[in-house]
Amino acid sequence: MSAVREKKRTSRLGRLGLLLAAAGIALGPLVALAQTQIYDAKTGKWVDYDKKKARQLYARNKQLPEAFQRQVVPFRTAEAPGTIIIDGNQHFLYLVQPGGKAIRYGIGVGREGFGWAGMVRVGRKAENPTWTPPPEMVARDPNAAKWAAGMPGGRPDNPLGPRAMYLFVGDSDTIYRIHGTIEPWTIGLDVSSGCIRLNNEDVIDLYDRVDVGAKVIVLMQGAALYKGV
Amino acid sequence: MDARGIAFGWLTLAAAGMVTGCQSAPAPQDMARTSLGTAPADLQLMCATAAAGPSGVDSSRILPTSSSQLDATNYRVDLDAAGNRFTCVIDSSGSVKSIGPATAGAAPAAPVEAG
Repeated sequence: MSAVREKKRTSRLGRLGLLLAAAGIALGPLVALAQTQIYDAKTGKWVDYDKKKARQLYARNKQLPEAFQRQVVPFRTAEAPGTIIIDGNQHFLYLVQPGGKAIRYGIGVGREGFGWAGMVRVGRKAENPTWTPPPEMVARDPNAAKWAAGMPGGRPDNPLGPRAMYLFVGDSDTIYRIHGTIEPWTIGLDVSSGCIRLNNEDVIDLYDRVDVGAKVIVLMQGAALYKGV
Repeated sequence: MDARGIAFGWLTLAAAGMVTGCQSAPAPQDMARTSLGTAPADLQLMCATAAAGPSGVDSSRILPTSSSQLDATNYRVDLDAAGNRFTCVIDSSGSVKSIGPATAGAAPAAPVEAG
């Protein structure tokens, strides 16, 4: 994006902010709106990160932006090592480590209307999982409908990728999973039907570190659906 | 977050941008941000832990539901403690400044609408 176009876009966003502020005074609370930005080290500027930009960058760099790459970060918490904390708004999954640290992974989360929050646990794990779309997805998505009986694991077009961790409340499957993806550029975006997706190298890394029974805390501002609370 | 909160988020980001404009690039772990301006996840959970005492609810049943940046160093975190709303203010060093039941005059908690 040229500097002129970026300036125009920034100006438009500024006007949008003012309009939203004015509307907010009149209309009261609104559903949370969020725009993710990433730092472009080449230009030294913050740039909007949406589907188009994400796809462009991934095609060019063959990897995720640095912020969404796996890394060890400081993390102050009373939660036990092995606990998973998902920050859906910032698109990060933290795996708590000893010593005030966590391994942070970039994630893709539920698109508008599909976000959720809560306290769940890893109920089971699977390698090369079968993808069985839920009835709601079968009803709205013709591509999902043809796999209503289940897409075998290991296929290159299986949207769960090579690993899945199934999230439960008590002994009940929530239908949400932490899994891999066939669209690695979607990490950092709100794209899923409520599942948490990682790139395939990361989901394999996480899978090997996480035990069945691990506590999972999902933070998602503006989400209506609370699980396990 | 209401529209004023969103506008504040953008203003905060813009101010941060001006500050960082004359400094070196952010660390790799800080190279993403959102206009929501939510509190870091570890601070949100520290508030949930701190709310266990005043709420009388085990911290494993207290979920942060929304958060926002109040100023350069402080965040507000709204909590659901087994159905009761609590509000916590915490600074970026992890020091809890205040915590108590959400009051009627306080800013609204997260809108109850799918995300």
